Amino acid sequence: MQDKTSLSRRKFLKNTAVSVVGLTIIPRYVLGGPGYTPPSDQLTKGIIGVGGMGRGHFKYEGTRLLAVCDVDQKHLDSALQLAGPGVDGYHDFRELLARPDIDIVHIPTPPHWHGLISIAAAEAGKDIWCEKPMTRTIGEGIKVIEAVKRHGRMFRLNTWFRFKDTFYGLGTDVKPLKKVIDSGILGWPLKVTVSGVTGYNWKFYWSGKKNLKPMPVPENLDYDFWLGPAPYKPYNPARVHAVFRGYWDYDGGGLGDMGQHYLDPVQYMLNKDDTSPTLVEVDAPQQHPDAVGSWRRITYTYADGCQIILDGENRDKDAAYIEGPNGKIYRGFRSNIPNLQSFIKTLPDPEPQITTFTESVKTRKKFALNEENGHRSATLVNLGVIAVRLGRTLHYDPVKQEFINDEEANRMIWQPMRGPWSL
Amino acid sequence: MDHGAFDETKRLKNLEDTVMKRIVTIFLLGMLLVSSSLTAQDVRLLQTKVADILNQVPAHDLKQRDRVVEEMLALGESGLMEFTKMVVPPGTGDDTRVRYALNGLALYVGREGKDRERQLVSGVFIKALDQATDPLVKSFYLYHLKFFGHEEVVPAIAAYLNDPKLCDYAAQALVGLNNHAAQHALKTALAEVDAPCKLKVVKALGVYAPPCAEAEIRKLAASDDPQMRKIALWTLAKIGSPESAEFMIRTARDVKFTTDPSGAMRSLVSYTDHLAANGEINRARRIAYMIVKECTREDNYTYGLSGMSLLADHFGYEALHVLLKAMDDPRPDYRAGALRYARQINDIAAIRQWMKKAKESDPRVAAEIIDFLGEMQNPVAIPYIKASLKDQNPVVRSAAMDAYVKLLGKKALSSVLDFLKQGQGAEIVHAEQLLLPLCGLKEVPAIATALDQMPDQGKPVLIGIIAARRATGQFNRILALTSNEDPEVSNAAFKALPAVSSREKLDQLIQLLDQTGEESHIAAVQQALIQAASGIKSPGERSAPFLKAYNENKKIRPKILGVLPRIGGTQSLNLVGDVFNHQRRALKEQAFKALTQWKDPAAATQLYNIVSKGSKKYKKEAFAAYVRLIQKASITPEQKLLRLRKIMLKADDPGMKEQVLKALEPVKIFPALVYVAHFLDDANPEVQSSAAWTASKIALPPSGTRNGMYGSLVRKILNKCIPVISGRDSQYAKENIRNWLHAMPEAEGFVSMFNGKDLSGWQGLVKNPIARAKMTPEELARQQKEADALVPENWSVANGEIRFTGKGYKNLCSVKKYGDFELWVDWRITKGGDSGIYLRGTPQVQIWDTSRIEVGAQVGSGGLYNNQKHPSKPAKVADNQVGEWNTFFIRMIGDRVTVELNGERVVDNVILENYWDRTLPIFPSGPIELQAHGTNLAFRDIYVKEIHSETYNLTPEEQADGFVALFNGKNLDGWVGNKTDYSVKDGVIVIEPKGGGHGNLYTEKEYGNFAFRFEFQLTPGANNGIGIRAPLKGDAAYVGMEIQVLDNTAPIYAHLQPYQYHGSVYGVIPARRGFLKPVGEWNEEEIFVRGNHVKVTLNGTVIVDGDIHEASKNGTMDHNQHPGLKRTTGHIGFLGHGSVVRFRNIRVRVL
Repeated sequence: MQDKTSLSRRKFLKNTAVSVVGLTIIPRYVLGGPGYTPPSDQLTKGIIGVGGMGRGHFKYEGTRLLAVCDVDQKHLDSALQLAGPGVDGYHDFRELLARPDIDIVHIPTPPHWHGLISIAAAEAGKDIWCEKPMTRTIGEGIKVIEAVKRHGRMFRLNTWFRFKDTFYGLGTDVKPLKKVIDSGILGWPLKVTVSGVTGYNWKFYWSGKKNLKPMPVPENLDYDFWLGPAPYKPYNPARVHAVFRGYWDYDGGGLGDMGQHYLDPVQYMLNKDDTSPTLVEVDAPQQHPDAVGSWRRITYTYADGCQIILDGENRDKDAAYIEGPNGKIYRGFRSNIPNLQSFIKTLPDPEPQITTFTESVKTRKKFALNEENGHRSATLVNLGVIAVRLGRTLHYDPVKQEFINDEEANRMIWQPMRGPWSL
Repeated sequence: MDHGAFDETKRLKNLEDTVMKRIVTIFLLGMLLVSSSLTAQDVRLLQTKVADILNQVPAHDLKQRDRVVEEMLALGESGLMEFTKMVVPPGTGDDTRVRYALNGLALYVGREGKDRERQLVSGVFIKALDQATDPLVKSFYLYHLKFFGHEEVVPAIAAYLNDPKLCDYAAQALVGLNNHAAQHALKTALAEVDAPCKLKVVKALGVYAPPCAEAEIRKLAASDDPQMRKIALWTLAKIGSPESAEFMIRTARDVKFTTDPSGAMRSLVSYTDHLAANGEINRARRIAYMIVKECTREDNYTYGLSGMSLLADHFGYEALHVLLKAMDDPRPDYRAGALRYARQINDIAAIRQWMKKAKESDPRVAAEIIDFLGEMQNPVAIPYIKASLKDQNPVVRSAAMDAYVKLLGKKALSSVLDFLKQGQGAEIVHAEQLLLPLCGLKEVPAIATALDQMPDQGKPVLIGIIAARRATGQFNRILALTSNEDPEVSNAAFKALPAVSSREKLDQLIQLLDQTGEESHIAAVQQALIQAASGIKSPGERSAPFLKAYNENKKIRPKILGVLPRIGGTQSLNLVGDVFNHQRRALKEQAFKALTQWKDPAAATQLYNIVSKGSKKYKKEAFAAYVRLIQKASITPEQKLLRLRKIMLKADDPGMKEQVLKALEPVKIFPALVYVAHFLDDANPEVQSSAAWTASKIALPPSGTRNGMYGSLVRKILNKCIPVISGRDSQYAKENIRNWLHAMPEAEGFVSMFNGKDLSGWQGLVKNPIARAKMTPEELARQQKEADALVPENWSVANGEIRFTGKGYKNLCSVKKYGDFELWVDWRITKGGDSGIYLRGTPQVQIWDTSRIEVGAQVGSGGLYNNQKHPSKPAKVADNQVGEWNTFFIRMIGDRVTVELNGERVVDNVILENYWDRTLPIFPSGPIELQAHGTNLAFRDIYVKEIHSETYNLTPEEQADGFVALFNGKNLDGWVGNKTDYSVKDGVIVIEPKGGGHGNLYTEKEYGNFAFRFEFQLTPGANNGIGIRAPLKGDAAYVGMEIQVLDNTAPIYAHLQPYQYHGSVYGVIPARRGFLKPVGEWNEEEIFVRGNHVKVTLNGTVIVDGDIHEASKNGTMDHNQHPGLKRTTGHIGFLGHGSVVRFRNIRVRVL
């Protein structure tokens, strides 16, 4: 499968960096221009997992697709067809990773694979573009950080609301919110409520079907590989494609699906990129051991008193979205602080961030949402998942990254994997 | 374990299996013959308890889950075993509830401080594990044990390490346990287990990394099986003992220090890490250096990075020279890796070395190091960075500028301005990026001063900063710059204008608008005008200067037209309309554009006219603009629907239809749903899909609630949506629709009274209800026939409407009679029109032309016209223009009527008087009639929902949960006892003791185990109570039990006993205090009674949760006899103690 010419292409790419001094590392302030892609050094990518979510990764700009991988032959065939000529297909992601001509690996697999493949990709010298939630367990996230650092890789998590697009019900992007929070006008600590009012929608009610009947595995699917590190359970279509989020073994329901989209920008706004809450409280019905159920409310509290509330049942119809001792910001970016909008405009901008991954890959500077802050926002998701699953209040040590006096919860941080997979 | 013992265990197990099977059989029989006395007394009791518990899972919340688990634990080992026997292999039966229950149990005992319970459950799970025969059932127990088990479960789990079907689960479980015994068991098993399981055991051991198993694992690491080799190497790495050093190095050397399937390099790196952590510093250092040295090739240099990272992690400053040297490597990621690891070494000596390195390096590498120095924020680097600001190389200068700002923050501002002053090209862009985070409004004066001295190429950046900070004080400076000779500068100034404009500058801006010629500049000035005018509240005042300019200056007209949509106001709108209708070419186009951009719904009429009459040229755009306007308008959903329906008639392609359907998404009223459903049959699949999306958004409950639309029609529509819905996220939508179809209440809901084709279900009018009642059936039939014969002369069906075009007063009557109901009906009248809706055969909800002042029609439609004692006029005029459609929503409960006209409440719960005999109350039921009054009329979309008192005021969620209403909101049907002091007023049961009369009001029926919900409102010092399981005679507090209802705050109750406060089981179990709302507000309460368990939840807080048997076994708190505690059933009642209390929303669920 290895192609000699592309092999040398990568080498060429690296070598040009030497020969044209001062030009190949393109400073970000030059790259920033619209649609700027130096044609000579377009980066290459491979995509692992080309079902529903993976298709979306075909179009991410600035890179050329060389390879796709899937354990479902049907997905693979249709992805190859979609991709057109010049793209190779793989069944085993390790073969794709072994190709030296691929710069960036996209990982839109189900979450139970994110950690393992990210680590393998880092080891193979690839830069990584990983889907949310970053990892299915906190332990896997810790290991991803370690591997990315150890192998000098760049990592981006595929959610973007901290630097782009309207942040749900607020009718604004995050930047002005960050400005107003940093200005201190709302006071401290802050309470952020994310609810239906703010766009927190029904996807939070992803729930798995219970009492699944074993069914024959379709011929096109390598179910054992699909399960990978997850415990073996008999095949049923409800477990796999498009609906796997309803099972704890592969994801955490709507919280896994959408949680990081909502939580990551909040974490950034509150300046919590390097820490985690110390207290997690949950209001939910009893959970099934296998199938994800719904929940009503998850409350995260940080050591400094800041809180994030996920109001799954929209109890706070008129709740302030961001609330501090001195002021509130409501849905649609209204506020009880007079002339807040014009005030915000008078404030300095937040620190600039690198927001295109190709720039990050070329300059070797961290992407705005990377393995470290991504891990912290994935930790919010995973803390929520554990609290819902266990059904109790959890105390967390954000430095040691472990629960305090709760052995059972700690075992959910480091969940054993099915052999031969391991971290 | 020796073999003899093993056999013995097996024999016992078989025996147990047999016994268990027998018990299961008995149990199943018991389930089948619930009332049979075949089974022994105690067995039946246990199994009833088990069934009771299973009935309660999944618990609604986690508190309840814990309570259920506590009930389970109370059953002891044998009881818990009953549950485990019900777990079945997947596909062989439904064990969902028992899996919930056992999961709850496992989670409960896993928490801190539940050691005793945990041991009990461990024992039960192990026993169940051994007794189960199916491997997947066994795996269920292994799965749970790994989360809560401790040492005691190890031997039982380890027994499965050599079972090919279960060894992986067992190994995972032993990893999960994370204790010494598990590690030991794995170590022991390593030598004993066979090939397929060996791999799993080695892998599991790797997590524990016990040094003493090393030799054995090294052997496996040399195995032929690559999988085994990989796992074994990984495990050796985790152990990290010096004995493996040579072996690990050799293995990596064998694969040329590169990636291979056995992961030798990965393991070597990990090994070195663990070696260092284990204190083998020298050896680790040697290997790390070797890795760095060996791994520089294209196929392995990322391991070189690992080597550096190991050195930086474990040796800090000592490793610095390796990192410095890495900067000579041509690979950018290699160098970036080195700099990243260098961040761990933040001391002055290291920083000095880096500066030295930067000076020696080529500019590109120097820039990278300078960037790194900026991040390190060590002030030692400041002089060097400052000097680098003047470097010849632009890449170095830019990096230095970045670093300088990082180190000095706002203090770097003047340097950044200098940088901008001297900068070219990319540096200018860079300077802007640096300035935005540095400059707030406070820094603007400095920027303004700098602007004056700035060369032209830097000016746009500073103008941009001033605009970004909305520095209105700089308006004149920016205005002056709009005429700057350099086009870049003047462009930037124009672009900045809106941001710095305020209302005082309107005249200056209008003048500028007149003088400005270039398109983009005109747009900027227009924006500035809009911004400036936005400070003026009144639309008239706001538009005045613009209209003035328009009238005075012909040249400026097109430019003014471009601004008016955002300025608004009636005069502006009229002007734009006139221009469109009477002007030609350019000005007409401008006016049209203005209309399509208009911000308030006032422009809808003009747009509609263009759509319906205007040329093709304008239609599409006007259509889209109309839909947009209505969508955004703040008008009622009913009005939105009417207006969108109107424009939909003009849609002539699928795209236009989709626009309308999309706009209907937030219109969450029933008529919108049925309207949208028509388009599920559209010829175009895209339209069908749009209709399905909209229908599902309208009908489904908002997230987190279960208050969606329900009923047979809704069900039919939603079922039709599933196959046609398509596009992004449609699988979610389908799933969501299916979920709601499953969850929605079974009730009939709204049904159509009019099929759109003919008058089935309708008939002619015979006299009036009283006259009809006096007729013999034969007479009535004869007269009915005569009346029906007249119907076609007056009433007809066309275009999906019922039309009256006849003469006289021949009402059209529903054949069916209705008691309590909700009704949707659309109506349309003509000039001078008069009509009405008769409810229960009685006039009427009024409909008339509001211009008929002579008869008082200016009050609007919707009033209860014939009322004399009660209000007859609507609360406001909500009619649409004559000739347009209107929507009524009418609710009639008992004798009270609520009317909403076009979404406005015009009649609020008003009694409808009996017109036919004013001495009588309104009839309990009768036909719904469309009144004819001599003028042309039309009706359409008539939907009725009958309300049955058993679902009165129940939420769909409560209906789904099986609640029934005990109070119909009208009268005391279903209640017995004191019906004089208790009466119904305004939909509320109120006790008003006449002359201090006490007295109880009881349900007719008896209830044993139930959840009783109600709302109550106290008056100061009020005292009442809820009788539970009470007989109709005697003091319910003793012969039944009483849940106290009391204003705790009243001074007269200052010295009560705890068991007398609100919510207490009177005399028996005290309630928590402090959860009543202030007197006068409505409280919500639930009384949950099951067996001896009583739980009272007040306003969401549990204030009583106890066991009446436990609480009374050593005598009750009030030292009185409470024989009623032994009762298992009885009436529920309100126990009057002489004060005014109100109750409403009374409902019960039998458990």
